[in-house]
Amino acid sequence: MAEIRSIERPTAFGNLSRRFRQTWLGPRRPYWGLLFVLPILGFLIVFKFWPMVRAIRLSFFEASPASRTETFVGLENYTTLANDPLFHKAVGVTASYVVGTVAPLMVLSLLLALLLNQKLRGRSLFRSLIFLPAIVPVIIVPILWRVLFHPYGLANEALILMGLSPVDWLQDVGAVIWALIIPTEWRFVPLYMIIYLAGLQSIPEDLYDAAKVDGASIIQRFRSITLPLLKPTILVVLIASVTFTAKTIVLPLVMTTGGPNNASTTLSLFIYQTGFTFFKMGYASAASIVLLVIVVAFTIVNLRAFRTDD
Amino acid sequence: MNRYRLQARALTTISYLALAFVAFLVLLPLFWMVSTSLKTQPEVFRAPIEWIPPNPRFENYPNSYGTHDFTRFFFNSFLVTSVTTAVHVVLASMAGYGLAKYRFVGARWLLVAILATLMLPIEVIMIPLFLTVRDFGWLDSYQGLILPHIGDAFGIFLMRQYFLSLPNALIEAARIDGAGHVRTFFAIAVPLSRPAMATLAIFMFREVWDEFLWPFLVVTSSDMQTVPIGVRSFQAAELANFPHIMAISTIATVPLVIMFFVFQRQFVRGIQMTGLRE
Repeated sequence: MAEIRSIERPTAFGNLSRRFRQTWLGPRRPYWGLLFVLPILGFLIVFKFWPMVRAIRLSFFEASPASRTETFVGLENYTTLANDPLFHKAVGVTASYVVGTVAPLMVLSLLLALLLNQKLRGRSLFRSLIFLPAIVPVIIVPILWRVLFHPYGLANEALILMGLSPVDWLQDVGAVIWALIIPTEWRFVPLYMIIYLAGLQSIPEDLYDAAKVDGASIIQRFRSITLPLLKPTILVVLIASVTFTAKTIVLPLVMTTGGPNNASTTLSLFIYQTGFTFFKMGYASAASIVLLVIVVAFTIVNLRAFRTDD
Repeated sequence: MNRYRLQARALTTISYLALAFVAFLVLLPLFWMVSTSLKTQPEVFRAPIEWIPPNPRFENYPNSYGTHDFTRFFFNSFLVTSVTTAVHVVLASMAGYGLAKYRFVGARWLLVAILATLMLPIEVIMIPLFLTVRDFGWLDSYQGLILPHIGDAFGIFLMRQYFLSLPNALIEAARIDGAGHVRTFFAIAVPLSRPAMATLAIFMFREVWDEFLWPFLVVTSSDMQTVPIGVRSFQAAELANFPHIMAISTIATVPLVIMFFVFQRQFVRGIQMTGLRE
């Protein structure tokens, strides 16, 4: 290196290379990189980081938005949460909603993706049609399904058609969780199907051809080629669907307002009601922190688990 | 070989049947929505279901649209969404470029910090975000609706990934020709990243257009309502008038469906790249 540089220096090329080194994007003016990031960083600081810091601070205070007073209460908000039956219920509802939604979601969307990954005529038409529920506006989902879950609505018509007895979806404490799960599947299976499809299309075709030559059955091909190579996609779908369902609010807020008897009050809805209906901002912040910790912990655990697996 | 061909044919048939069944099932609620929007109130739950109403009441559409100021809501949605999207795409591209093409102290740390905000959706920080915006005096204003959505880590990440794949040679060539940092970005990097920016713009447009929770918290007057908030207040006011509610729901859904069919490719790419937040 030293030798080359000593040869280069006196020549015209050497000059160019030095000028090049000075003006190149690299080490000379690296702070320009930061300048490019600064504008949006400002927005992130004001509307993400600062509110986060504020949420942590607020969770140690008793705060009322009307009088704009804040009193330090230490850990009281957290200890109250630990003994609040409503909060426990919200955690329970969220947990059953997450598990009840994510498990079928992962399987159904993968199955659909497998179907659509075949070379079928008209598959792009099927893909577009099946994708449509994912386009429906977020606010329309609860409004539409509230009518579908009406005692004489389409959901009960379907049950009767299958020879089952109708259910009072939105008034029955046991049924209402399904009134949250079913619309979620409807809207999100198509969405995750699209993500799975991307994963499936990245698997090289020749692997399957080779397996066919070796006489592997469909199921063997799925288990020893598709599944292992799809692992990163499965991880993405799992984390995305859990974090998304764990913070669900619009569906119960608009469709059931948490009822009956709080049987559809999710954690986010609990936070919303505590903060904006009962104006207990400090207490609601403490609950937000708990929600955040759950989501972050889940994400980290999963990233770890999948990494050591490889 | 023959066994495979037979198996393949059976599989194709089963696949078609399964896909047709799923498509039918999935589209049924939407069909019901449109069908109900053309009925009178007593016809809604009449059994057996009249999927195609014998006397379709198209006047449900102008009637429901007219009772609330939906033209204003569409204007608000359009204004908020396009300003948010435009500013976000420019700033996120700049940030993605800065993070991909420069090596400055703490760049890695900065990227991690930015990505960490993906775990801070409105649902988690709604209380302090609301208080912050209130302290600025921005409740019930366009600033309050627009500005909190601009800082979004996903766009930064998407653009960074794109710029990482953009060859340095092009940028270096511009720099050697004497173009400054800013000019290199706008004259070289931006034109080359148009597909990525289009994907991001369409993705962001849909996200912001569809946003419910934040405007629901911030908007207090009917003048500032966006379409989702307008639909929600319409539903709260009309309660049992299902045909009108379904008509408004259809009106709110159609623009997004059209947008999907026009920009299908960018839509799908955007979703596949996110691993998705929703």
